[in-house]
Amino acid sequence: MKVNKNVKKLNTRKKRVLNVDELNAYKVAYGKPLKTKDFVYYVGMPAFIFAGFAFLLLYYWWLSFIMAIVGALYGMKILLPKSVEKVYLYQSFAQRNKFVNNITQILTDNGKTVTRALEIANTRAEGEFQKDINELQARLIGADNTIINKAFQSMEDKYQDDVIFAQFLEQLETAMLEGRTNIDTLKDIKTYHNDMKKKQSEYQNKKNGHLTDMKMLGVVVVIFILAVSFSFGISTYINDFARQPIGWVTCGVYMLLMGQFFRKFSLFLFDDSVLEVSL
Amino acid sequence: MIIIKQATKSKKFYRAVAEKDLYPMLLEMGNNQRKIDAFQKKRLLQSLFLMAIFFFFSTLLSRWLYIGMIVGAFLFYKIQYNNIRSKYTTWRFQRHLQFSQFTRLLIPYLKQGKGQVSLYSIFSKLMHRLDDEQDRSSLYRLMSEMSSKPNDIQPFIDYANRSSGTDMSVLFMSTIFDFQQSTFDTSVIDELGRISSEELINGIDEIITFKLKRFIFFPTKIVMSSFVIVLGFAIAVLIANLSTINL
Repeated sequence: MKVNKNVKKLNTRKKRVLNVDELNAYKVAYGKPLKTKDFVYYVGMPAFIFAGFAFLLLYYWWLSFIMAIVGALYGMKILLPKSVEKVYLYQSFAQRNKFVNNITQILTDNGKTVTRALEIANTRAEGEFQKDINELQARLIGADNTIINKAFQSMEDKYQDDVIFAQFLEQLETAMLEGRTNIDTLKDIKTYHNDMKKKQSEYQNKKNGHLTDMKMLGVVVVIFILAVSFSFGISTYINDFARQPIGWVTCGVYMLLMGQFFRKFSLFLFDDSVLEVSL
Repeated sequence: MIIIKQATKSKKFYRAVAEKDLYPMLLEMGNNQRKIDAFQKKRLLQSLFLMAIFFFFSTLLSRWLYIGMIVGAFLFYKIQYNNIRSKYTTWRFQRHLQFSQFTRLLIPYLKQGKGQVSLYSIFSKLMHRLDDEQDRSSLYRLMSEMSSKPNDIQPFIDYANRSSGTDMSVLFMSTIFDFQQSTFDTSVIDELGRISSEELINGIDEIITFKLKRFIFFPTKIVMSSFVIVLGFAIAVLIANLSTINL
């Protein structure tokens, strides 16, 4: 049940800041600890973008320095946890999908029982999910109906966000209690789960397309700003614009707008759930 | 007497100039007539105010602004309508999601009860698990109508139309009615589960479309905000040049 609580905490909709150790714990759940690359990408990149952008606009060293710190903090507190969560959820889902497919395949053979199917599926699972199956198997040994019910129920509770998987477990439970497998229903549910996986990856691809567009647009924006600043000569830009109150106000407003776009965009980009919308 | 007549006349006017589906939409979202009239009045007055500003500037600056006056006021008026429309679409969509959540919550309860527990007590258990206030009051209405007209399917269909309005939801609610009326056969619940899963798969498409739509406006917004820089820079250069001329 302790694990269950942790998963609840992963919910990003509630604001919560994880420290590096906790982050690592999630990442290790499927065997990949945090690497320097992750830090460079999710902490260094926003710091660099924020600082570079501020410098291009106003040419103050100290402002760029502050913006670098802001960017690094933002990356550390928000982007990095989200990316870890994303990988975690993705891998957990992939494991469940594999499990659903394996079990259905094994149970097509009428000679195999649910317990046997679980054993076979267990050898093919990995990471945290394998531990969950281990636990389930252990609880099912010599269990009576109420304990079987409880064992499946706790697993369903843990993965309640994946509604189709929960339905699958329910069917498995029924199969175990009644001793006969309703293979058609299992196959139906398997198809739904596969559909969901397909849709998720389509969604992911489309989002990546938007990300590529956005990167290009970022380059265009930088070129545009450079064009503006060199249009009357860089000294005019710095002396008449960047060192004047009008420049401070304009660039402040512009940076706020861009910051807001950046925040919203990364928020939407990390929103992977295809089952719920938070408005 | 005269005052009342005038009031209704102006209200009639507001309603006449409103778009055909504006009032039904706002009513469905839980506003009352008086609020909508007030909204409509505010909307008209704001457009007129904008018109007046344009009028003022056009007499001062250029006659071309007279065209801007008409177009600007009209656009402003229309934008508010479009705003309501998009809000309505989102709201509808959200209701629909809430309904599918309702179905997913309901099925396990029905299965647990195995036909022995009355639908009424299942609903009252469900009531605690719904987040949305409107959903709760809607379900409450269904429960009270259920007990006053026990053999009537209409309350169930009304509930479906109220909460989602799709064919699937009507089918779902009538299946529940049949289940309550006749059988204790759990295969009916399996059927419901199938309906709900299909609904879920369809829902995924809608959610993905909705979430992808949010990305569309980013390029436009970013390009638009570049004008802030251009404008600021132009003003700065102008100020600098003016001060050199004066000196």
